[in-house]
Amino acid sequence: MDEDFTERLPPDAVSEDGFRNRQDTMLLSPLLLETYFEVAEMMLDRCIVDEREKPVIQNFQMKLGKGVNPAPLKETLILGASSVLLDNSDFVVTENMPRKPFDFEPFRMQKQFRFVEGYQGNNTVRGWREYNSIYHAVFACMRGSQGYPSGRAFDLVPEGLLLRPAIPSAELFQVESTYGPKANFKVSLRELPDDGRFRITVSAAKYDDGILLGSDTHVIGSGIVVSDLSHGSKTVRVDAAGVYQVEVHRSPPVESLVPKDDTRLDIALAGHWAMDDQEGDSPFGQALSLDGPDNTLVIPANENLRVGQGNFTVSAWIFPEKLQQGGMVAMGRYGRRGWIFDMPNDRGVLRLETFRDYQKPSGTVRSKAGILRAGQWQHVAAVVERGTRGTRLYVNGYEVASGNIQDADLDDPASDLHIGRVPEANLFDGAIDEVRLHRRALDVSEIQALVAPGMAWIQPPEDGRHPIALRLGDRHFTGVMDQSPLMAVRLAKGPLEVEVQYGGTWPVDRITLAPVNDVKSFERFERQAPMLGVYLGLRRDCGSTLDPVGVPQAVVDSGLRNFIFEGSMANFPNPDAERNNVNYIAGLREIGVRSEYTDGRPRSRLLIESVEFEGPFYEDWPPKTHQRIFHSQDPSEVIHQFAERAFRRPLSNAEGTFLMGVYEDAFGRTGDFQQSVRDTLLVILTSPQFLFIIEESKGPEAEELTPHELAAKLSFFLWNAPPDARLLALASEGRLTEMLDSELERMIRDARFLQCMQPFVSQWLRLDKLDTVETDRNRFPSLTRDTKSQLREEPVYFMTHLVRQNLPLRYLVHSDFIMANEVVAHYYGLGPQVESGFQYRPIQHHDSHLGGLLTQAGILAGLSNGRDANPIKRGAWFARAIIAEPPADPPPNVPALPEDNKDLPLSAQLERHRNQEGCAKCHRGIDPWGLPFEGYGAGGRWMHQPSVDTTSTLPDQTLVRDLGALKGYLMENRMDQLAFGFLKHLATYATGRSLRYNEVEFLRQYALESGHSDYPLQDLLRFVVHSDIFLRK
Amino acid sequence: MMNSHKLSRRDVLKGVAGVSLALPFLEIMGVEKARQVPRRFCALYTANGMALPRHEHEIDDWSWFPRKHDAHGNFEFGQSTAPLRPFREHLSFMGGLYHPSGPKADPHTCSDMWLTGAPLHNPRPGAYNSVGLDQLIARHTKRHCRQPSLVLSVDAGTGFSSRTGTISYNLEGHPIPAENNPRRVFDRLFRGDRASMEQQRGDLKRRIKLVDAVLENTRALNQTLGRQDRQKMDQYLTSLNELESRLIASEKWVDIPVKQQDRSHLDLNANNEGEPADYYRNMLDLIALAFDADITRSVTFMMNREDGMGISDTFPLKLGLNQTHHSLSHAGDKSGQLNFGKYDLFLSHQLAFFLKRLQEFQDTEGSVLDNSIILYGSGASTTHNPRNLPTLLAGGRNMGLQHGFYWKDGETRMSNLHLSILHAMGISEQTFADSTGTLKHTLFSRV
Repeated sequence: MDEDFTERLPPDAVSEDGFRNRQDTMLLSPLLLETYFEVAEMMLDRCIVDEREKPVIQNFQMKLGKGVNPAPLKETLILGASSVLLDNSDFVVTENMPRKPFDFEPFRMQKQFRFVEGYQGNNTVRGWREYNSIYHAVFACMRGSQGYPSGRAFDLVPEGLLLRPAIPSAELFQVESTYGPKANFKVSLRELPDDGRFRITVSAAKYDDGILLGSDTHVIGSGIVVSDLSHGSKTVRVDAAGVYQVEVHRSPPVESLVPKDDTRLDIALAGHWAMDDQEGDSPFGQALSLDGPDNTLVIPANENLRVGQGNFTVSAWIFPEKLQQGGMVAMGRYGRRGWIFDMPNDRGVLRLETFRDYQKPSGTVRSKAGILRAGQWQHVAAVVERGTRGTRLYVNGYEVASGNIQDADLDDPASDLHIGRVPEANLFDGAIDEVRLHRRALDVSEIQALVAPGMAWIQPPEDGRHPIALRLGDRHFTGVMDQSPLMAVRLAKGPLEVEVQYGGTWPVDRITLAPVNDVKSFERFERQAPMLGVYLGLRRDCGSTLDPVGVPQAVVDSGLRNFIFEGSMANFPNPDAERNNVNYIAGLREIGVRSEYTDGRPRSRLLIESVEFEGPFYEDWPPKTHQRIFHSQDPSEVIHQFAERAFRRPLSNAEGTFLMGVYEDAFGRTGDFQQSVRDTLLVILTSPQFLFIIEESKGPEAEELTPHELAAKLSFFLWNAPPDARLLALASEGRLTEMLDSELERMIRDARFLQCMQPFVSQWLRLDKLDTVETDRNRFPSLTRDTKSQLREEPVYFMTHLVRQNLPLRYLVHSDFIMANEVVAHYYGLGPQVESGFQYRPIQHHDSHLGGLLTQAGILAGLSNGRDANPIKRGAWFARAIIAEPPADPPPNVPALPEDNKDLPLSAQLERHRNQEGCAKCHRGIDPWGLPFEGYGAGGRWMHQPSVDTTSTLPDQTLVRDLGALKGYLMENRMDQLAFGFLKHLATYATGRSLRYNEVEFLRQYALESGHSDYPLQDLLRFVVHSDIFLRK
Repeated sequence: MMNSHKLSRRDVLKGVAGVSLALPFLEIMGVEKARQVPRRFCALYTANGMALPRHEHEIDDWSWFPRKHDAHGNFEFGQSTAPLRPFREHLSFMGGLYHPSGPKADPHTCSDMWLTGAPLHNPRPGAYNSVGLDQLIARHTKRHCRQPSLVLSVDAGTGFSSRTGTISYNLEGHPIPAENNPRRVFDRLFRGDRASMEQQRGDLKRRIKLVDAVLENTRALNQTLGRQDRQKMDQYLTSLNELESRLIASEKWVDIPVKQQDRSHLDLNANNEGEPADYYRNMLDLIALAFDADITRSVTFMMNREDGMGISDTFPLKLGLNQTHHSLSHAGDKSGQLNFGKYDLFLSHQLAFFLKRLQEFQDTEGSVLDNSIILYGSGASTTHNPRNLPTLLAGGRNMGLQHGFYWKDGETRMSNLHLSILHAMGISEQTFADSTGTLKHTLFSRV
């Protein structure tokens, strides 16, 4: 069974050399024993079933796709803050009867509910309300922070739900969204089994996608032009299959085609302020420059400026230094009677706002965001024509907005005309020139005349960032129209239907499809399979707590396939809410489905067609866990077989008799076969023969391990697991010693070897430091929680690779490759070389600052305070883990660092500290090893700062210039010491005890004597296993 | 939900006492230990912070924190804490406390974190919450009393994640369902149900037999071991013996009668839908009685919930204060802030009642108040502000607590207070959550 109960055991202590498996630090307590009993009971509870009862199985499927539900629920569903529920018509939930070779009871979810609370959940829940639908029990929900960098994070197409890679978020309140990665899909639901195994089946495919382009690309020829798209789709013919670049062209606005007319500009001109007495520069003579507090221009109220209930036009040339809230021309102030021509925010919006009375608006017209630009001259005009949609805003002669200004009287006799600010609000940041106020609505040709003096350099206003949706045949694409070309896509030969939807100001005029010259990068994109990750957990109001189910699976095919994810319910977070909670959104569980993110490279979208859950998942009934125990009706056979597996050896006669005594006693009391076997198994599972790795001895002298003791010792060392059938069989046949070498090879090749390397490497190299260091997010924005968790594995996979390949020990110091997946490689700037998703692969780095163990970011970043690198921590780590010269413990009462130095940089503080008398002695054995690492920052990467001092005088007075020199020094002079360090740590971990003096010396001697070899790492491991340290007891 | 197991002994115990290791223990080592004066802990939580009115409203004297104080910690009670005046020598106000994890987490989880200090901003499993102060204390005190702990709240159950209805988290960091009905609390404390006790006894007997069998097996094995392994096995045997004696002791509790007390004044029909004062007083009285009878030594009571959840949100309305508890806590206007202060005053009356009850009961040495540490406060200073948590510490004079001051030492980790409480109770944990040490002050004169 794979339920993990170890969480409830109190943590073991960490020994001096970092290992947790040392017998002298693993203490026993009544609490621990109580927990062992409890865990044993729970395991037996889960394994043993009542055979007469039919199992209850929950199975449901959610099918996804645009309009896939023919009879959607009419009510609007809401699921709390930052939840985007899929449209009710875009998913269907069905409860099914899975096919099973045994009888079972289908579990049907509750569909009738009464709720009285619903904090932002279903915000209509105030007072008791009743519900009756499966759609109040199972929800389809997108969650996660908004604002996907390119395209939409998700889309619904008839075939299913399309997901882009879920970009991780720090999920820290007030730092980043706590709602999880952007964006992620969840099935939220009220009921799932509490325990047992489960299976989640996702039907998914790689979408036949295009790359959204952001940079230069080259096209050959003119390609295909698709025009006249405003009335639905158009079909064109693609003559040759290939990769095409898609370019979207927007229509030029008609206004620019109108000829200018300046003949009437003096009519009803209420004022023209040319600013030629001002100090600012402008292409139109001087301008009003608003860089101080008092520079606004105030025109005292006069009859001429009153617009009353009539039409008017206000226009000006403006040069915003910055896009920020500020008024250009104002007659009145915010909320008071009058009109205001301004930028309401920092998003490039142009606005005309009017009030007929205090706090009583009488119409506002505003452009979309992104229309105004900072740092250039542009002409802005508001033409107010009272009545339906008569008012228009223009930028550089292009109409950018239209709307309604009511015919209320806007005059306030007390108001002056302000240029450069709205009174009591921010100053306009920039320059203003050629302000005109007409008491009539100018027409387009007159606006063109006002723009004419600047015609030479003005551009059409920006259209802002607006979403665009494009359909090519039955493929759907979304993007943001802030660049052209839009994307590259592979097209087949033949007819192609094209349709576009665009929400920007200017309509789409035509689309061109042109073949690209360089298909390599597109082919590379096509090789990047999306990776499907499935999660299980619970909904929180501020996000989700989700744990991955298994590992992400690459979705290579463009045809739908089923992907299976399995786990045990008890290993996943449970909401801990009582049943029948009266709150609508209490205790919701979640199944998360994501396209996994590695380093932001373009990746085809993941198509999710359906998500199916089954649990408890049984292949047989009674389940295998039960059958394996009760393989016979004979209690003696059942108990013997179980005990031999638990004790990992044949039972002694005394043990056999004793256990049968326990059974007989229980049977005498209860008369129940199953219950009595269960009691006996509980005794077995709490006995020392099961809980401890026991080596029996006859006398005080060292003895050979028995074959079964050897089998257990080997497998707990190399697999962190009990011996398998083969090891036990070899032990029983007495052939294990003779087969030791081939068994070692088999065990190292086995996948379980990673279960040895995980704890060994992370404890030896103290990788746990990275878990606890609080990284300064401002300094190291890319060192996110997810990146850290990948970097932490790098040393484990590196060492596993070295041992499996039997590579020389000097690779610890330097190697021309690193073991990396896409996340790790991206962190080192080697991203494009890796296409293995989350799989670690050896890659050549061609970088003198990488390679070996010493420069791995997961190690170095852990040896810091999260802001600054710490040469002392690094030096102490190096001395202890690499050359096995552990520094002495600091004397008692040494303050970490004196308070009065707080203002100095850390390096200076440390320097002061180690130069103090009393401190210096110890630090002589520590700091010299740490200083050469100074070129690497607290993020663990090379900083490219040649000015940093990395010189160091080593304890033997060798002067090294930098880490490269230290590496050279180690490879030339100290490999025997490195070999000894590795042997000592490995032997300590393998035996789970501290080594005796003569054993340590034995290893040191061996390391010295084998100096001629390259110290191949697997050979070193074999040496430890073959030594008396391991083989004798 | 689909757990098809029959109701096991463990489930019964979980339901009864809240923790999975709910095995009460009678100290059988010797008479002198049994005579030792109990050390108890009670945490009372109020949600949404306290009134800290804006200066311009000119109602500073309604601030919950003492406004008038000097550098030595001498202070004057404000309007809303005036009822606590008679207990000046038994209590201290504490300022500047905060959980470093607080500002990083959803502010609505501040009650979840109050006793645990856990980094609730980490959404990865295994880190949702960690053990609370009360449960850590219960782990040590349970061997002396019938029930390890008593977990109370104004709403029953656990609520749900980030809107919890309990402030108590077990050793694995899971919320412990709270009890909210005075009658059920009374039954749990003072009326053992015969049938369930017999079942409990049967289960304990079975468990003792099995532990016995393991002991026998281990002794036989021990004879064939090497020296090093034998030492380990001795540890195992000692632990096993201890476990067995605890089980035997637990079984004995079943027959020992509960201390005689006058409980006739209790109104067990009081409930959270009636008068808030009646409800609180009966609940607090039950805690005092449970302490006096030494039924448990660790109690938590969540008096109201964060973020407008549950029935306690309406209490200020019932008291004529115009708004619900959560909206009062958000009020910025003068009358809203004044009403929030008046709600603090109401709570101070309840707290004063509780301290008085504890003072009336006598232990062999001093009053029950002298032998109990009462932690009263909130996880937010005002709503959604996770710094300067309003905190009041009362009682515990026999554990070395010296009161009568307004304690403040810049910003101080709440976990350091929790660690100090543990040490004052004689529980020698090295650290608690993210603690960096104990509080250096005469308040904890023996820590």
